Amino acid sequence: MPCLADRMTSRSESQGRGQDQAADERCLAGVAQGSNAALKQLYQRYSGLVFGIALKSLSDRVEAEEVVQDVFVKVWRLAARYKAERSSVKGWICLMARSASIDRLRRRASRPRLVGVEDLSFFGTTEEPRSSNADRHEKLAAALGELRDEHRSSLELAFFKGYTQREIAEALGLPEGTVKSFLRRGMIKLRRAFGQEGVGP
Amino acid sequence: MSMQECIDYLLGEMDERRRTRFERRLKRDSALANELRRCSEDLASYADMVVADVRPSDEVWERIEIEVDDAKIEEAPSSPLWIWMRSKTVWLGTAAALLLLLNFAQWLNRPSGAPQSAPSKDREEGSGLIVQESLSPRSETPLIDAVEVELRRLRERVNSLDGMVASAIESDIDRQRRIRELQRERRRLESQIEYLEDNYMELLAVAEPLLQEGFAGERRLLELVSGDRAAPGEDGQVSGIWTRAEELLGDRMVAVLSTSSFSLSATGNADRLFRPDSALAEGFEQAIVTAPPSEDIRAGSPEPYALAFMNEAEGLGLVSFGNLPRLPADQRMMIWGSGEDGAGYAPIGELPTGIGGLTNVVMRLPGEAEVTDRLVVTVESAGADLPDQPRGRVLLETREP
Repeated sequence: MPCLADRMTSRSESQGRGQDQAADERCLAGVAQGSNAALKQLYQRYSGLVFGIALKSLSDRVEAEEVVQDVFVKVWRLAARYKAERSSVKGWICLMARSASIDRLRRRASRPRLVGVEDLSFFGTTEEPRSSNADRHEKLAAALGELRDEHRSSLELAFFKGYTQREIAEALGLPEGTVKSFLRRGMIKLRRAFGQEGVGP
Repeated sequence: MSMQECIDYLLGEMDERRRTRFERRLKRDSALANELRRCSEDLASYADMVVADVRPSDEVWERIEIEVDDAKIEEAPSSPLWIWMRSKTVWLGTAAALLLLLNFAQWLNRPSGAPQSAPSKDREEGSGLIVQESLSPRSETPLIDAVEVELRRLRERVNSLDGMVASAIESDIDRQRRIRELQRERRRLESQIEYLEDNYMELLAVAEPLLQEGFAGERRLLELVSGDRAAPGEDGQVSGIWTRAEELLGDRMVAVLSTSSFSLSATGNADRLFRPDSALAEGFEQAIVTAPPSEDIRAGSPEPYALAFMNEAEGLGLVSFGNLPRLPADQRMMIWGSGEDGAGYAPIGELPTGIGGLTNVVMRLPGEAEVTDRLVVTVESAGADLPDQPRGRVLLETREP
């Protein structure tokens, strides 16, 4: 149960997120009307995230930058089709980045080596994580650290590497149903953690 | 269950059939849409936490802008209304509407006794009838409005494209290169002008010691002539000046020591320097070119001297004086010119008094060409009328051959 101060923080962050979303939607509306400036605002806000996702998926800077380009050109083309009731702008862009990265992964001639649980770490890079608020990040990392290794591995393989649940099951030597369950439980824990810390909705 | 479905949907686990069914449900099930939204936000937050704090290079945005601008141009004519307008049906409809308008106008202009409701034979047959059935008069205005709106939109788009084309032309690589070349050439010329102007003074400074030596010793004058008439000097020292002058001014002006004549030819450099900027009046005016103070150069050398630059074609001359004496108020310095025949001098003008040091004076020569052959500077009485010929003490004069 979060303390009062935490709840107040959470509420103010939640308001901040609402404002961010409203600003994002205004930008996207501008993009739909052909504004380069609006696209640039979205780019400034989310290009780092898109690049981070692509880099984590592809482990290749050049390809990751191409993904950034593809994603924002796609944002330009599809802005009018964005449906606010189904996703936040951030979620929409983020999933587009994932999708573009995985498309590239799949196009690569040789499938990347399947990795085992021992190869995966929660922060799969030696670079600094994105969160600018160190304290908040620490709390979240701790909360997310409560995820079992299998949950984290399943999520990471599914989200960043584009593995199907069957492929994850093969990689981890588990039944497919178990992987499905890992993913769901992982998501529930994430939501709880984000909800408490004000990262999620 | 709905969360699992959302995860499957977002992570691409659904096959085509399942996905279509899921998307159909999304349209009518707001709870499912909400759950999908939450799941997508959870995943985005998860990614935001997990990925490194990295930024793409600046070039990425430039590439996006280029691609987006290209896409704008490509997509310009493909708006739904444009496609709709290009369809045959629409044009048939538009033509029909126009016919209807025509018929309506004819009906308004009908003879007053004609029954209003009776359709004409024309409208009962052929396209008139089709028009009446497919488009009622009420639908004409919206159609025309829509066309107007679309026309306006297209015109705006054309204007916007014009702007883009203009911008593209501006950024055209060849043109940019040409502009850069011209700018570089301009800078080069400006630098050359500046160099020549600056070093023109240096040339004078280099020549002065020799000139001074000439007056003090061999009574030689330094003459500047055009390049094609120039010849190397008589000795090593003069050759040195020659070389230095060439270095400074290239083929525009050379210095040569003359032992015989004060008759000087103008040079392009002299023209450029003197003519445009000097407001010449009768007599003398101080030149625009200012020399360094004589004390620095002439220390211990009280002898007056002069260096003349003449432009006979233009009737202009510049005389560079050094160590002119300061005269009492009742005296003045006059400069005179004469031709080769020795028939006498003609007055050119009065030198400013008290100028001292090294001073350049621009003068307009008298009309007779021969006056430039010899020059003499004399000290005359200030109070009296100017004599016809020099009578006072000779301060400077062209050396006899």
